[in-house]
Amino acid sequence: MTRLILLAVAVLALGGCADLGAKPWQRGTLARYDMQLDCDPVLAGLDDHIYFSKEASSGGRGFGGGGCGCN
Amino acid sequence: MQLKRKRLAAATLSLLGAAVAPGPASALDLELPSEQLSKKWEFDTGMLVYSEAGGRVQAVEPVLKATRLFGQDRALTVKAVVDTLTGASPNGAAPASTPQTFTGPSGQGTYTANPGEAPLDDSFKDTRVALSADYVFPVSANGKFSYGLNGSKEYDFLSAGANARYSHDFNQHNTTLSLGLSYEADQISPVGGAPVPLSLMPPPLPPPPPGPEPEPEPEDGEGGSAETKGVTDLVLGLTQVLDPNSLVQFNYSLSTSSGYHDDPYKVLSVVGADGEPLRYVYEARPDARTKHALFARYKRFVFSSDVFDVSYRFMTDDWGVQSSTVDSLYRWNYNDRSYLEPHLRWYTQTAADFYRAALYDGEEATVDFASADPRLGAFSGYTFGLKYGHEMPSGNSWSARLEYYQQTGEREGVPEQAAAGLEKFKLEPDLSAVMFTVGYRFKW
Repeated sequence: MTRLILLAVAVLALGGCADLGAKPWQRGTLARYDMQLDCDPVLAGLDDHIYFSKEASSGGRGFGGGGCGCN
Repeated sequence: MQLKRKRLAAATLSLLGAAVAPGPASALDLELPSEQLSKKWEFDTGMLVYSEAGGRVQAVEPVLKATRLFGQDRALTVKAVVDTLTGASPNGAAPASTPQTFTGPSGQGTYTANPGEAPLDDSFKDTRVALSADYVFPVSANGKFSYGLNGSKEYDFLSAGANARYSHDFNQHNTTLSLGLSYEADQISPVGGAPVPLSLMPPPLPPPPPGPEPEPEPEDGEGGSAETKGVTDLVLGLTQVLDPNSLVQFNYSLSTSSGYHDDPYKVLSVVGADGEPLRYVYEARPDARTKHALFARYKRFVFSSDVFDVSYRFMTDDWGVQSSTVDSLYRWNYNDRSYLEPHLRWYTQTAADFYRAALYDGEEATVDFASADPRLGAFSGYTFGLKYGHEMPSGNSWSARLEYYQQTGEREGVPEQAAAGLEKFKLEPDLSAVMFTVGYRFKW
């Protein structure tokens, strides 16, 4: 039953998404470099490493850090 | 037409998220010399200088990331990071009214904390090298697959991992669902061997008789017994374009790890009713951990030129840590080629269930786990920063960012029987650091 509800929510959410968005000819702004989700990946990687080694949290933006003996 | 096609490709790539997008085209491509557009390599380089106050950790971290574009959305990215660390790090022991002397992890040398000060192990020194490679390619008109390998080596730590990710676009590329999996195997070889959890830290040896200094034994980082840890991560992502100027991203990530989680260099003070240390024991953590994180992000183009980006992450784990993180950026493009970007980050976490500022006499025999690692304590953190960036007529760009990070801890995990005795000491973890980062991006 829980699975069915989750599936229904997912389908409804996707259906709702159909009303959102931009047409292909409206994508000039979204294609700007500074509108990318990872417009400075090197900086984002350095930040993730700092906070992974100084705090007890990781993950969220992508895979959860790691590869470091600092924590 | 060429520009429109590139922009469409870039918009599609943007939906793939941070792990796989191979650096889409600049919005300023129109003004670039034609040879820039035909270049096949994109280099993204950076260097971080990180400096903690009070003579604590200092780090220099250069990064080189190179992406080879093969056309048709195929790209190979390789990345190398070198991390050089020096300075002192809290060893977990509580302050005391008299000087406290500890033996360094190698058994060679000692360090001493002044009365009332949290002991800092100043033998901390390491160099880390990390390498990774990722390849992304389309599997259908709407689906992309990427896989990657990564590894890192430092003095007492070796890590190797692999990851794979699939993303699929719906609704004319306005909606993207993605699934990522990664596995990492770690090997930890503590200097001097992995101590038995909650066992007594040996008291420092008496000073050697006057005479020529004995030759220190070579430290190869392999001397102690090797411990292992495995980490599996799963990330489910949904990205949705809301309108021609904004988009949202939601991620759920699950991380499970099993194996050696202790910090072999951290101890706890075992104190009497007067709050003064009787002895020190090594910390003990559970051998497994499961973390869940929910991440939401909103990005919007505002005032016809600027970009506002805000995100929130909630994380919870089975060690009792819960955290919230708010991160916000405002990119003020004050002309076509230059921008200023203020950054504000706020973070707060609760303490792990087994976080203890100190243990009361005899308690080390009754608890299963205990750690005084300040990173497992309760604290809040702020980061304030400002970034400047500039794109040159060639299309290459550079940036510089200066940030300040401050952690303010809460007093937790104090044993009741010694609370009055420990009243006179500052037990709250705290930390402040200045971070300076420069970046340079060019095509080849």
